[in-house]
Amino acid sequence: MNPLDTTFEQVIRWLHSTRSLSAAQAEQLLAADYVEPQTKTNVDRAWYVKLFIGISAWIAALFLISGVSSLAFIASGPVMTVAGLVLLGAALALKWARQRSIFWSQFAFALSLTGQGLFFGGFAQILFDTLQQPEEGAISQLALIVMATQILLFFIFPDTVHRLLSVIFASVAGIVLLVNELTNWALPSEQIDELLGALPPLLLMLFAVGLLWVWQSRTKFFASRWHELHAPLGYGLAIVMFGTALATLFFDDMLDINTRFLWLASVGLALLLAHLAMQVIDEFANQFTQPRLAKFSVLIAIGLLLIPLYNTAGVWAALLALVLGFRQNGHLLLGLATLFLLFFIGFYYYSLDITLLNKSYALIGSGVLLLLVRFTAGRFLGHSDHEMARHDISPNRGEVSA
Amino acid sequence: MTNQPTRVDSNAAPDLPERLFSAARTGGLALPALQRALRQVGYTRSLADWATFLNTLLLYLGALLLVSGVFFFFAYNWSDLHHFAKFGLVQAGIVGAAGLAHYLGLDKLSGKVSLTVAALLVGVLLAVYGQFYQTGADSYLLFLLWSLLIVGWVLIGKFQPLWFVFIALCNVTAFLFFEQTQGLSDDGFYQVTELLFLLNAGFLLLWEIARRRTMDWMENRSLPNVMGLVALVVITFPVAFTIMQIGSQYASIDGAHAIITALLYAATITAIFIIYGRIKHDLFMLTIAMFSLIALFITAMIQVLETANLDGPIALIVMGLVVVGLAGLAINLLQRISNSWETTSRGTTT
Repeated sequence: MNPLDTTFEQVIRWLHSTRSLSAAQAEQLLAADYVEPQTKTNVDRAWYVKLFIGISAWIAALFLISGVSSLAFIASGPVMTVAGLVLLGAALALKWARQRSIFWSQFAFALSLTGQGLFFGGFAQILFDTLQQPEEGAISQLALIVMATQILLFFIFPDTVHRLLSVIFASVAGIVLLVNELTNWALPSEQIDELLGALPPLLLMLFAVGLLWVWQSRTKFFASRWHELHAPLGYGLAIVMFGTALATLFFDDMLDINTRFLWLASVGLALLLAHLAMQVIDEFANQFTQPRLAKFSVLIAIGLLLIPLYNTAGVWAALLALVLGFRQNGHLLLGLATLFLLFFIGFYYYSLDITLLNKSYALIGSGVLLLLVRFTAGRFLGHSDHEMARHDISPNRGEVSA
Repeated sequence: MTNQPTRVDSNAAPDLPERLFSAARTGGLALPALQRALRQVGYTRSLADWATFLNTLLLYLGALLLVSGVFFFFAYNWSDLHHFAKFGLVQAGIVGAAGLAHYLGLDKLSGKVSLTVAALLVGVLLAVYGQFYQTGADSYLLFLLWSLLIVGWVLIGKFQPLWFVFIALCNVTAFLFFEQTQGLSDDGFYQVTELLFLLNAGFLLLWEIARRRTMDWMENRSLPNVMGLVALVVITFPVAFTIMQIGSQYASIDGAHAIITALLYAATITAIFIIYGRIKHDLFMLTIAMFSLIALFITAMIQVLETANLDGPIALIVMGLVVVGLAGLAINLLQRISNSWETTSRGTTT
């Protein structure tokens, strides 16, 4: 017998023995066995294969868009829009009809990107050239159409990488829409500037809340018919959140970010992290001798960290993603969060307005402090250093991918 | 039915959570029961997992900030501090970190990290030496000396991050050597890529040979994959450069080196498919090889179309379709290879 069947059986029998399942339910499950048809293989699961699919589809789409849009009969906006819609429709039909075929799936992906490019390009031409709409109105209409199309495609185009792109495009279009609407709001210019300055930190908070919800609901997603939406939504929100955090760093002058709101974003993200930490401690409350003390210590640690990191929202966003990634077995999220954490910490020290010597003191002090915390926490929690040396930070859990 | 709760080893059944989720999706397993099952099979993190995570994170981050601080401190070149004090401080740091590694033991993560800190501080010592004596030597010598001085620790450390530091130092040494002694002209470009390729491919080969002794610390494939990626990227670039130069009226190809890099490239691709397709199954290596092949094919096609003045809409559309076709073919091939591995492993299990 296949050992995998034995372990599935063991789990079901254990669930029955602990009265989580009735005898009839257990037998029914064992009879069905739930060996999934081999629709997902190692190739489908590997993130680098997905990246490869995405990049090659983009390259193909760039050639196709350049080629199709330079055809003489597609020069006008309306024709481009119709051609884009036709290609999008063809891509969808192809994707649904030939889901199992790798070649046709790849072709449908590239065709969809081409169709989107032509559709949005044509629509923009209609708005700006044919209808000669005022710029502010046209930008909002275009952003709205991009957002609506991407949301629709997210649900109806059954491909993880395509859906991930839809989340990113829809978010960017949403941001453009918000900025454009705020800019043209009938308010005094000082108030508009104030609102625009508050937007990046507030958006960062919004994406972080979304990220927290999606990843915390991972089990529910996987147990429902929406399971295939989790990975693109979860990773898409993480990319958009980190992108917004990067924008607050590099375009702070251009965006004229209101530092008051950046401070609020840091506090908000720290609160989300504290909320997550409290949930984790609650999960193991019966294993702590003093769970309240553990909670209090974590809150104090986060509060103390907020003092030097009050205007570095990126570090908090990365910490939140790191803890979420670890808790929910999101190995890729864990890797992404680690990279961004290192980047944001590096940037924090780089941008400190003090001499190199004082920076070195700050770095050495922070390093020693973290090692002391580790020493103390190690005694409090108890851990095997030998085990850590054998395994990585994230032992293999057989990550489930949508 | 047994009343004995069974803790299932999650590593023995990597698709078990997937099967449990599948059972839940069909309504056979309610959410609370699913959550209990996931905890039982070790999919949900335990308190011990969290302790390990926090300890590892704090250790790595603490050590990184500490070493960065030391680098910054000596980069400031504080004139108030006597040079003997500077040397003394760094040397004390090296002895302290190495001593701590010895005290903690190299079987512990903290011992390995201490040894890595000591290896990094050797670089600080050499930099302070360079600051004070101003010998005028090329900077590649600093990196060369640094690599040579820590090689013993790298060998006994059995720690991937320390190996990463060592291999990165070797790469920097090789690059700076060419830049500072020969310059990065067309000849230099070919030569430096050849050297970097040989360096990374050589390390990768040694790694794979050593890996056959089934050492625990070598199980993680991150470092060999990075080495493979770097080796493939540095050998793909000169071949792409050669292709772009063919037919160009301003072509500046070094014929001998162009042939050498092309041969090295062909040998690498063949070796990747034989080693990682048949002997040591590694989908990542096969994927990057496919990607590299497609990149070269597209470069060649663009060059051919440009030379033949075929850059109209139809040519662009054809190019797009070719890319789709090649990517589809590559994924199909990866799928077949992966399926053949699964069939082989099932055959071995039964």
